[in-house]
Amino acid sequence: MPRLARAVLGSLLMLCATPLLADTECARPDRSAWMPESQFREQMKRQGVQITKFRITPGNCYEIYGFDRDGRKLEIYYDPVDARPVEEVASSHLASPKHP
Amino acid sequence: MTSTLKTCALLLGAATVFACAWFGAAPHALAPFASQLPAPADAPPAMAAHFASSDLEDFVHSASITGLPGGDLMAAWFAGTREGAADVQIRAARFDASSGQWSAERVLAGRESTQRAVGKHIRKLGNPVISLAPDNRLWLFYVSVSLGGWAGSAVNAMVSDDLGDTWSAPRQLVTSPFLNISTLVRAAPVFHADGSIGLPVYHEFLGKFPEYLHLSAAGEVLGKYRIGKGRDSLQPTVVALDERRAVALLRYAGEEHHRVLASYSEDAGRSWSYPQPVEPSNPNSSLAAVGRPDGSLLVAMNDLEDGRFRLTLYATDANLGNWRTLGEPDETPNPWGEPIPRDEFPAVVSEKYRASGGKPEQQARFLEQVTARMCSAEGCTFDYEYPYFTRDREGTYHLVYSWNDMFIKHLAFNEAWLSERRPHD
Amino acid sequence: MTDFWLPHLAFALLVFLILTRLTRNTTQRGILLAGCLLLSLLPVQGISLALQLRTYIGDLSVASLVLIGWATLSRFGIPPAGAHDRLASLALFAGLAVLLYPAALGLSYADPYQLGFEPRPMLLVLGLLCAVLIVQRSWLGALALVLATLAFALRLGASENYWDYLIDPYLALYSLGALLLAGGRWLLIRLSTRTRKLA
Repeated sequence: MPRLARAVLGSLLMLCATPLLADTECARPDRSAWMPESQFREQMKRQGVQITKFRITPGNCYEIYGFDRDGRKLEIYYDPVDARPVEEVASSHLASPKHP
Repeated sequence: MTSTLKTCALLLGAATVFACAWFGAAPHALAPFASQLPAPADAPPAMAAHFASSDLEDFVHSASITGLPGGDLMAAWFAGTREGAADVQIRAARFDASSGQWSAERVLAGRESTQRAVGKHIRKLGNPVISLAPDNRLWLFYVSVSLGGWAGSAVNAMVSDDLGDTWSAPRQLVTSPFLNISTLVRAAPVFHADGSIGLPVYHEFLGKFPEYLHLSAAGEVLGKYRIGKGRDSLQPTVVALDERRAVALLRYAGEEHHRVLASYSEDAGRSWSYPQPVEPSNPNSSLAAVGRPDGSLLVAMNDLEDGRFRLTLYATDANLGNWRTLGEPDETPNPWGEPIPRDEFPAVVSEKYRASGGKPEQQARFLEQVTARMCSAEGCTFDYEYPYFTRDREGTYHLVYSWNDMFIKHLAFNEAWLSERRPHD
Repeated sequence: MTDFWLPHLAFALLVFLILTRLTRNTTQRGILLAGCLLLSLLPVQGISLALQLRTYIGDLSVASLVLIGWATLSRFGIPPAGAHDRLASLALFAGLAVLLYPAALGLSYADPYQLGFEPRPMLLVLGLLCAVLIVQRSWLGALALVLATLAFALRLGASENYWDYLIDPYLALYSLGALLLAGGRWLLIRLSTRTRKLA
């Protein structure tokens, strides 16, 4: 394959792969609008989520690891303003965490 | 002597005795809490990690730490074959501020020395609390059991007038009318303006409830004030918010909600509000809190419903309404707290050992021991528990906690470092 | 060491009372008492035998010591306490036990044990009760209260709490049990009297 074609193909593949490798983005740079962390965790608990780890991701999301009411493992990203789930990693993929 | 005269004489004699007791039993007002010294301004952010204990062979647990004049520190913990073993001793080490190193361990109290001093057979020791009083007397409180399990505990007190070089013989405090059992200590004392000592204690015999023990500056028991009742809460950690107000955060031992409980006092510890659950979770494990210069609280705890695989630092205001994570001093790499595979464990735990200042020459023996303690056929787990906070006279925070049953880990950091940790305002 | 002379005394008196039926006269009882005192000092596993016992039974209150002391003296010819005297004392200690123990073990928020650290109200009430006992010639109860209060005033024991000089779990159990038995017997007598009258 010509060198130029290999370079273009490689770049295209990189572009396609980037969303899989990149952190989940929540696009909420204004932290003053975020739901207080305490309130967010309280809301999770009311929904029956047992949080084993909470973090604020580089993509400005609230991320929790834990278990639901039925003991199912969870890894979910939330919008930090309205606590809406943005991405949930399927429990079948939770042999090891996406972003430890 | 006629019968009437005899009766009068006896009445007079009895009245004299009761009058003498009356005059010797003046009520003890609880003095306001001693004010905290302000932190020095403009210190650059600083954080350091060490292992305060050095023995590799023994199980260690339930550490406490206090600042000494000049910046040195002293930490105490219990160590032995296992928790509750007859060979458990109360050990201590001293941190030299100039060299930045912890000294070798020394034994402060053992089962036999305690037995001889308190006049009872002693089965086991535990939970040492070391604290420097404002009058520069160094106090060590610890628990001993003569009968049964930890529910049969009593508190013993030792004091040093030379910053820990020599100590008085232990003296058992009488704090319960039922065979003097079931008073235990765990968290840091709070000092009152008159030099008296407020020691947070708890009872765990038929019920589980916390109490505030008031001692004179000489260590005599002046009063005992109930913080909760029932069967659900223990190991209070008390922070004075101002001269009269204090908050006690409590370990929750019930089955209902797995949350930290909180109780307030408005009268310098004499009475306490009914404990209420607050936001953070609690897996029935010990937690520690300390006051900050702005009146808020710094809390270290296992914010989990089950397990002790993560220790988290939180900031919260005096009303405990707004909890913010400041970071995890230590945690398992598995965010659900599941055991990690045995083949991954050596690399992970060795890295943590080195980052905590573990000696390279001891690493091999350490790995052997920690694998034996923390690994099974299902994999390897991590335990970070029983935190204890103090803030020294220079304003530096010192946190000690049990690190995988192997070491007492010591973290030192200042207000500037904490300010950098805040995820958002 | 003043912390420990009371446990040694308690040990000696208790063992004496258990073994005294083996003796036949005052001289033998005197020797037995002296022997019990010596036995209390026997070292076992680093502490004396009396302190080993103390490990398991705790400290007896001064009131308990007065009662067993009186029982000891009655083996040497001192008249034992009369039934009325005994009943009044038992009622007093049973009342104190009911006031103290349930709450102290966590059954309520109120903790009466705390009153013992600031005991002026207790001293007032018990002082008046003591006066009543003296006027009624209930010497056992009065003596127990006076000596317990004196020991507290002088801080002769390890405790700084007035309750610990007045009552202990054994005195509590004994007085409640004896009172229940006495009450039961009284009830039986009343019932049998009434039955005979009807017949």
